[in-house]
Amino acid sequence: MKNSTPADHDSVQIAESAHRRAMELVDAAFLARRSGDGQKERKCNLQALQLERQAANAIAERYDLEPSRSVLYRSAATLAYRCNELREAERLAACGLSSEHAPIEIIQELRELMEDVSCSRYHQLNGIALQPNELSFSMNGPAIGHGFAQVDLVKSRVAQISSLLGQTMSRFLHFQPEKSTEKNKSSAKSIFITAPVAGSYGMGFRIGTMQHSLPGIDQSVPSFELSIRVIDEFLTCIEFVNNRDIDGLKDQISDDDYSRDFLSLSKGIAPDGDEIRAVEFAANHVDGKRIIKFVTPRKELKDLEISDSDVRSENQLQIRGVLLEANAKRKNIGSIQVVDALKKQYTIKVSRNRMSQIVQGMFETQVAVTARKAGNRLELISIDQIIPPKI
Amino acid sequence: MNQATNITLDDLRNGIVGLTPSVGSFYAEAASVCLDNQGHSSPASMEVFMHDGQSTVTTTINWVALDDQAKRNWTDLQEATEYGACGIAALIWCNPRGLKMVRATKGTGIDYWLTDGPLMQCSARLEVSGILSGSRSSVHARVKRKLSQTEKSAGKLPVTVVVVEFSRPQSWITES
Repeated sequence: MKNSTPADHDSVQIAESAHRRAMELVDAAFLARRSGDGQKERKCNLQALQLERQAANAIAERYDLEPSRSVLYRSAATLAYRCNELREAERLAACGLSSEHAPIEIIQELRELMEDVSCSRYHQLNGIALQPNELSFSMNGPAIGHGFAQVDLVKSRVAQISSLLGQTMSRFLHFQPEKSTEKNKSSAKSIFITAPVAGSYGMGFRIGTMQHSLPGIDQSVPSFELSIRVIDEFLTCIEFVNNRDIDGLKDQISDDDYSRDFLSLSKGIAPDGDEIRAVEFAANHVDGKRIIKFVTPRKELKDLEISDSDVRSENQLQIRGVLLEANAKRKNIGSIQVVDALKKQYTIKVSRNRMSQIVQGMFETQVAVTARKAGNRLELISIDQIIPPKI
Repeated sequence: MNQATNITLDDLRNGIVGLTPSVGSFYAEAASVCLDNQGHSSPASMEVFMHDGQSTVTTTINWVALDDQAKRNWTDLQEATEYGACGIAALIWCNPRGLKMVRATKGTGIDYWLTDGPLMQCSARLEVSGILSGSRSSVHARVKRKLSQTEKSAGKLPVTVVVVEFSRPQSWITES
């Protein structure tokens, strides 16, 4: 810190006092939200924004006061963003970025906030208002036109995203992942798709509640709160995959079957790096919009796997081949057939639930299967689609 | 060594280490919900491992059990675990060192700064993480992950990581 004058001392005191009151209001907003008082929450957040802006502006010329200066501007910009004051969020973030001495970490966070603000402005301009139980999904890359995209690029990802949302919900409701129970089916039925939007080709997913009831659809499950948690969890896990953080994913999803299926399906959602450069998700989290950019290409994810620590390596079999046939006659367990390059056929047992949620989209494609040997039969541990290199 | 050997969750209600009384009370409730959920009653012992386990201190945690009505406000144990861990971190690490826990809004949550100066000056970032019930290896993995996340940003700000586990109460504290 430079040699401070009385005026400098006053400005620091003003900033400290305003920041403390701002954080008290942030706490009040948080507690109001927990008690379901949305009106009070917004009012407290708006008041907190005014005070946090005052705190940051009090030391606006104190470029020597880092990281405080940039952190206060980031905090004020975050509050503006939460209050949907997008122009103000942009302006405050820019003030934070204007300091040459701001720490690299805070600069990075301010840049990310600017990107989120920019994405929200895009949504606002296009009339897309996300509800807390909605997840928006969009793709960018040379294969995406203004409001149109190749069917295959969209169809498979939509199926995989809805499978992942359904599986995440089943996991939260403690349904057995290995059984195709009616409960698991009901999870899948509570995922809705919303209308596509132009620009970067995108659409939305809504969980659980529809504005208008649909005949034959039970909307008692899931609750609104659960829907929000499912979306939040989905984004957290996608972030782990995007960061190639397998330990993080395993830590987040303690059940190995669920974590393997998440990894397998998210590889299918990942951008290919050529036609699709980024797959972007956004959700209106209760504390503000959460945006995750899935940019790690499939080829950098293909070697990631979650091993089965309970199965010794000699009892595991790796198979690469074409997935050709499925048998789903029995209620809880089915089988698939994979034919390798030497035309050898492997029959592998798969739960019906995993067959419908994981395997179905991979028929007649090249797959890499890890199976466990159980006596004479093989049981599926994981299956990944092999994406052929672009010619 | 500045290490508390006896902590009382209710102290958080007095607005210590720069936390407001309302958020301090919230953290205290969250921590007691987690300890209660894991079958502990006050007082309980917590092992505090510092700097990758180079030194260990046993701390006694005291708390007043919540009544049923207060417990009903905590249906989400994941939330209780996160906030309870913040309360424990404030008591075992910040309070004995005379450090303030200065908060700021970030993304969808809050970030914490440990400081003995004005605002966030002379400070380190504080990363707190809670595990309701997990093995020692899962606690280690969490510490490792938190450290690697902070390394990824390639910045220069010092970071203190505190991971709190409630089933066999233990805390791991590492500074980078």
